[in-house]
Amino acid sequence: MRTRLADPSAVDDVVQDAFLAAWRDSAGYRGEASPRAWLFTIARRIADRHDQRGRRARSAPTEDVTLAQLAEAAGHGTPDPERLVQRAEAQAALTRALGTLSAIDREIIALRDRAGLTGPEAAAALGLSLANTKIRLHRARLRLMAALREEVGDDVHPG
Amino acid sequence: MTSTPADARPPPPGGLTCEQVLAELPDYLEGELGAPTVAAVEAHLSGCPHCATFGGAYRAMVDLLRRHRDAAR
Repeated sequence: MRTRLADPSAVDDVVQDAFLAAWRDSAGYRGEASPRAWLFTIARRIADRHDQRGRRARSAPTEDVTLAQLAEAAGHGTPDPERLVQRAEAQAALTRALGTLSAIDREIIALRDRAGLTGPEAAAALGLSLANTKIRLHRARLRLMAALREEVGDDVHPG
Repeated sequence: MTSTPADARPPPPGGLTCEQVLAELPDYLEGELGAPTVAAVEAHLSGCPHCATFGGAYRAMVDLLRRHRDAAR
């Protein structure tokens, strides 16, 4: 949720409100999604109230570039793209790179790779199909790799 | 029939293009592909250093994200 919000300092308020709302609305839980996905769905709704920018970013088109273009920006074809990840081991670099992503890219990475939701759980929390969730996650990770290249100043033509 | 330069080009490793392998990469790393597709992806990775190194970097980044998740628990 911290990576979901444009203002990370609001995370405590959002989490507190989400648990409160879940407690109030517990009778409305019908078991269609896992309790974790249900709670994330509530937290997302509350985070949207805190963060109008997230709502705008979610509706922005994301399919205007090809996978090949995204991968090239992320270092496909460079001599050693793994080096940039090794050099980004510092949490600060990763946090800065995550901060350059759109709200929906940060959110999908946060749900799948940070919070550890399964694909179906993340899809339920986001209100997307599983296939769409997978594609969006892949593209978000590629954009994160490209952002890491920027952060660590990866030289694409070493030597 | 005369061969065009495109016809003369050898087939991509594993019969998959780099972009096709890129599209399969997340499911490949999660072990969600069927055996024939796994074999084709691995044949491509064996014959394409760009995709092999990029796949390693992609996996390393996902591991990095998940390591930080585990460290935060």
